[in-house]
Amino acid sequence: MNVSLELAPLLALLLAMVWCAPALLGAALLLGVRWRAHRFQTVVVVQSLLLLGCTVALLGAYVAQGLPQVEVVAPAILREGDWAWLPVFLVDPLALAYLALVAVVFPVIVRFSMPAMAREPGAQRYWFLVSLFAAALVVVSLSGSVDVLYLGWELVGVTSVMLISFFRQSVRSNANSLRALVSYRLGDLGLLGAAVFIHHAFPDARFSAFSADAQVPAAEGVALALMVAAAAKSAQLPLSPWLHRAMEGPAASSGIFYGALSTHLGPFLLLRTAALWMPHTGVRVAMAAMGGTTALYATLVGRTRPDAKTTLAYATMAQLGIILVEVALGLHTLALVHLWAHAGLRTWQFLRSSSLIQDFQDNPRYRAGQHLARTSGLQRLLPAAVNQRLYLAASRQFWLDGVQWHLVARPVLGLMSWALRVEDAWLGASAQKGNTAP
Amino acid sequence: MSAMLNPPSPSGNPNTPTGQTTQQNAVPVASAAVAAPAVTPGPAGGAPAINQAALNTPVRTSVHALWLSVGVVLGVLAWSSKVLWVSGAACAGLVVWAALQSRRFPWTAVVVGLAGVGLVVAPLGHGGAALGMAVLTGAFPAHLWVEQLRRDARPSSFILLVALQPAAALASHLVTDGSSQGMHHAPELLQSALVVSAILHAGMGLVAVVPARAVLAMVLSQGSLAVAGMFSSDVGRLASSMMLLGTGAGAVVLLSTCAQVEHRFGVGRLAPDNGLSLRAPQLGASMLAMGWLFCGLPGGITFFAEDLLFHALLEHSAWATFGFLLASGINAIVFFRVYVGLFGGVSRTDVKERHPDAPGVLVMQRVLTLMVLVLGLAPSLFF
Repeated sequence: MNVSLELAPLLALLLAMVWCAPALLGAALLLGVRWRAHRFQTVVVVQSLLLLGCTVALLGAYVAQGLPQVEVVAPAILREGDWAWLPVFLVDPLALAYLALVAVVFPVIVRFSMPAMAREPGAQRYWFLVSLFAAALVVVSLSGSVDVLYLGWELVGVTSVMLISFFRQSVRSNANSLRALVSYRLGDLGLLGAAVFIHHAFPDARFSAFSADAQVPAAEGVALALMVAAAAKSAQLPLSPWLHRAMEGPAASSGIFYGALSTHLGPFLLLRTAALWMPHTGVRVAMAAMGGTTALYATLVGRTRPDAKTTLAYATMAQLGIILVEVALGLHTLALVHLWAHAGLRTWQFLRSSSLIQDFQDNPRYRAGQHLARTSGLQRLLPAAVNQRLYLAASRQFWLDGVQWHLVARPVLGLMSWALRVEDAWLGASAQKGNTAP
Repeated sequence: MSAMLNPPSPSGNPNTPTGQTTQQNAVPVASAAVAAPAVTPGPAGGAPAINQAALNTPVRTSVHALWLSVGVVLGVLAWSSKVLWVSGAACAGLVVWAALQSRRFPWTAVVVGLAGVGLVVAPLGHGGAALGMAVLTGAFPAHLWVEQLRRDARPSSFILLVALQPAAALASHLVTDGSSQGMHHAPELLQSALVVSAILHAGMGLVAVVPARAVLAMVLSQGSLAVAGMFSSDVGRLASSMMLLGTGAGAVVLLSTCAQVEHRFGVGRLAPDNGLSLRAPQLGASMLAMGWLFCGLPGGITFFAEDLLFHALLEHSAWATFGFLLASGINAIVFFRVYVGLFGGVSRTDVKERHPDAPGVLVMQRVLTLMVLVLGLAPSLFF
């Protein structure tokens, strides 16, 4: 492993620059400082430009060094006996590719959000969350250990949930954000569990040592836990139903989170930890099966959706499934190129989704009176009865929501409700402040 | 938790979230019997109705005595095994009990109690002490005395009780640091009980409709985590101390928010139409910031505490660690459910500001939040 003296200050500068904005805006919001939305916006614009500039500088420095991997280890944040929480950062082609994606997409989103958020109540909150999201993504991109990655990963999830419920007056937004949080927490459980087991069972917890760690007996289990985390973040089966519910937030946040950057963290995580799971065929088969099944499921369901953003959500899910198949097959460069191209396309599509009707009317084929609806090859091949049944099942999302509700959520919540009723009965003398209605 | 509590619709758009009360049963609940007079306004502003619960004072006092006597006995037992911070928790319970009786808070007793905690070294531990601690910190099902106090005590007294227990634990940690040979290795059975307790508390928080009850569920769940960590190893003890600090501060902010919301707006239940985000934005911001930090969001002390704690617990049991991971995951869902149940939606007509805000509470909340942030950003300076 190479330690670069030139890259370390640049890395520190980048991290400091991108974290200044959310720290400043967060403090202002917490302390009730009455800044106008315009000032928040200016801070985020500066942040996005600094991010772009620092990324270009980092890229240049990395190319000039000519080293395949550069690891930067900062002093321990917390140390107790043999245990230490070390901020480890890794600069390599994968990290730089994802960082470059963040640095390119983020200013676009900021520019798009400026007019969209100009008169929106709660714009301050929006700018804070977006800036925090960008800072968290920088940490994830450059993470050199699973601990550092988890730090950014969790922040990405929370900002995502907060932006889904951005329109707080909407009951549906709040309910859907809660649903997304449930999926995210399941993913976090996978990642945190993997982190804990990595520290426990592996001689070295840094990503750079994963090729040696792959021989450890627990490696397969850790890889499966990482796969759960990736599935939750990228809305892969069976943790996919949250994605179409996440379209409640502003269009710009949908673009940056569910089109471009957040959902692609799943493949990124798997690419980052590839050295650990690649030797294990069982993990690769499971990953390919998950991706392939999701791609098929999302393609079918997406065709039955009545609105643009939800259709795009399912299209994203399908492409992410295909990317996971590529990752499982070991086509990592192809997967990275696919990821970049897909993120770019979806960002554009999500940002344009608000003006879809206008775009439709501007289409010259529509003006010429031509029919724009297409019939897929699959539809032509299948008999009409099968088509109808498939459509019905897809329109119900193959009853995935219902299955999860009946098999998991309802029994658990029913048991807990019963426990609360018992508690109320036991403390019946003062049930007025209990959980049953007085 | 409306999405989870409601059978999902095929379109993915749940209609009316259940599990959160509708307008009909979300009527303001009268304040605690201790704080409120025995007479509460009648329905629809009609004739006052007698609050029967408040008239049951002798009965309720005996219930308190029952629970607290258990606490005192355990406290004495713990004292005899020189684990004094358990006694400190018992002392805190007694202080609150005294407060309930006198309706005037005995600050001197608090100071004396805390000083007593710091005076005695606690080198011994093992299962008995862990059991006493589990009871006094509200492990399931021994949490009933805490819940009883929540229902009957004044909010300020109750919040202080919750805040005192971590403080007593921290004082114990500071005093006993370096002499902890006997504090390790609680029996496997007790570890398992604490795992189940943490999960059950968190799960009950998912369905509780009273905001303070749901917050208490989170606090008790985190408390079970911390107690288990306290008896795992030196690393676990450090993690527990950090976690108890975060839990104490978080409990104060979250419970004081619930108390403020009930006092100012009469909102005593979670509902999709409480809609306080526009009426009390600063209160909402405080709750949001502290709530996420409380649940282990990076930036707060609990983030490192949980990470450290899980590593310590894994030395003993993989499945217990998984259980605790699950509990901490659920706690975040509980918190966000409480937040959207109080601050989300459009306010229904009966949610009106009855009392002015208390700037002191807001200042206290911000100070605590900043403290948790500072501790979380540079933990090595403090631990």
